[in-house]
Amino acid sequence: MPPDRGRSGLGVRRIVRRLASPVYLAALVAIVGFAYLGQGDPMSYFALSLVIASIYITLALAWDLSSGMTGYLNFGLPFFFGLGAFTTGYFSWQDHVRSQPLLAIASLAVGLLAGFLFAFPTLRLRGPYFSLLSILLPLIATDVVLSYWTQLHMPTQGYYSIPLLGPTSAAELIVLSAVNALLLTGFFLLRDSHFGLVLRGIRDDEEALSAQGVRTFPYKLVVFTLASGAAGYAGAMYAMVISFAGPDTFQFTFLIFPILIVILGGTGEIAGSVLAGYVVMLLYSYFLQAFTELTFIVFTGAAILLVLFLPGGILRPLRSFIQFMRTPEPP
Amino acid sequence: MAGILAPVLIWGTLFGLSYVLIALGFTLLFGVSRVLNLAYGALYMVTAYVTYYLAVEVGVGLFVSVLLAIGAAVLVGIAVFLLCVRFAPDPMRFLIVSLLVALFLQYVFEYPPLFGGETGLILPSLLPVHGILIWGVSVNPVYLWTGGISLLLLGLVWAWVEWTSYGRAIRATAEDPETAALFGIRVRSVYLVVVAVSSALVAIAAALIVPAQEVTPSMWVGPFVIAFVVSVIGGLGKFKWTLPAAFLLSFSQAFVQFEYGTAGLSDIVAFGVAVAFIIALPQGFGGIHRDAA
Repeated sequence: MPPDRGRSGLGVRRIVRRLASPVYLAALVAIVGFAYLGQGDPMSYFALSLVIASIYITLALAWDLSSGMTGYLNFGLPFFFGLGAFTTGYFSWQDHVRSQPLLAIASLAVGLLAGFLFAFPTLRLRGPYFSLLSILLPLIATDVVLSYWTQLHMPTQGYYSIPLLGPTSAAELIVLSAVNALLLTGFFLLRDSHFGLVLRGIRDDEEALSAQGVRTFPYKLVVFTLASGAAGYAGAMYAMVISFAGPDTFQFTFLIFPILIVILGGTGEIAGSVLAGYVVMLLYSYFLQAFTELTFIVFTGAAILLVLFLPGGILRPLRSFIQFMRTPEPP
Repeated sequence: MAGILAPVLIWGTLFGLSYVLIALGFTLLFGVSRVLNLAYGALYMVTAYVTYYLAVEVGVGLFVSVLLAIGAAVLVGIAVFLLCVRFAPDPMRFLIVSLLVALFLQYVFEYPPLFGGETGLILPSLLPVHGILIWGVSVNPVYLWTGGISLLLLGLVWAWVEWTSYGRAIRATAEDPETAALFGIRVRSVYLVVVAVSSALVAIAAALIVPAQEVTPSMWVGPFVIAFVVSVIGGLGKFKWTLPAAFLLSFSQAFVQFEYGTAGLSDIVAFGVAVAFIIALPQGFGGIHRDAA
């Protein structure tokens, strides 16, 4: 462990030292590698799968930063995701705004704002109670959107003809991968900073942390606002990839996969989520083609088994194995 | 205001009583075992689908199908609880697993080969369903019967927990499981009995109420939201406050519904009430009582 771990500050050497972690580098290589592989056949199913995988990886990164690191499970993720998609749909409807970056920024802003407004009152709750309240968000949003569809002056099926993110899946993949690489780097630096130390302290023992004089509330607020913003951005990207935003965007699918990915990659690992994200989402794309209707049953079932029997993910046992191999044999 | 008084009073009361039945098991289970079971609403759905399958597709008698469906819901409830207690003992993982179980069951019931992928199946009713008029308001008698049964079951559970020796064991376990175990109470069997009773309660609610609604794969959401919001208002785990809490929710929903003329706002009202209580009165009604005593 580097001696400066946990100290704040932005020295270049310190940043480089922090980023020289095998898992982070592997994740970065995966992002770049898959972005390159996707260029082979720009309109193929494989490229489209990678685009969808990238969106879920963004969601997984957001969920890992907020919930994985603090232990405050935010089941409201699909709500902010759907909100982002809706914002994009709303502003682009009838050709009001056709600029993709502008739509993405609007969704990001709406996500940040909604996340702040939600987190500010509810983060007073500890642990499970917060999770329960957050789960009500997507449940109720779906209901409200469905029953008020026509009163909200929305097109009958949902917002369609949203401007596409790029001309081909391969082009979209480059944009998404670049943003994911940035998010990965930022979140990974945050993870090992003073800020990240407090977040992990919240997960381990919030009361002890408070007793040390650390006010945990602002940290939680910042991290949940950030995660909601990222989810809003991901929603905008999703809407621009499928060129549609309807009530389906509030579905729990957008929670199951991030949870599955984060647990498989190791909660609070950040970089592990990227690696696990490609594995899970490429498997998902394969299943969707091979067994269409069974896919969700299989993946939810797999997620249940994973939480029950392998809660540490694949990375943690691997790491302890490496540690074990490195330890010199006793004389 | 005068025009909506009768419907608000009648529907507020009837919905409130059905909310009691839906929320009772959730609060009871949380009060004793301190776990928040997100699969609670899924048991409601399991009961409805099993009843539908047996009574409509197989052709078993309705009463027998309902009994078997309640049995199935109890089995699923116990299975989820045992799996979680054995392999995911901390509350956070319990929360994730129970949510995933609810979604898993939703996807299973959505699977086309099972129920033809249809939504909006209609369940036959044990109770009369022909609307009757009370004060000029058309009322489905299913809700009247449900209200009566709900009061009866609330009384029975109350009496069981308060006045029987097993009830004392339950209260002791809720208070402090380790000390209860030292005094010879079989804590594990107490948990199992409470899980079974709570699952049976929500299954009974489903068997009574679902015929007035539809059977859809996402039907677990409604009862779960109701159960959770009612327990927040009453104070999580304090089942004796279920009745006033349910009435507070149902009357505010009925008022908004008839004042603004749409049913779509009920969920927002429920969410708003829950958030307001969590901010202003996190202990719920039960908390005030405790402070005063």
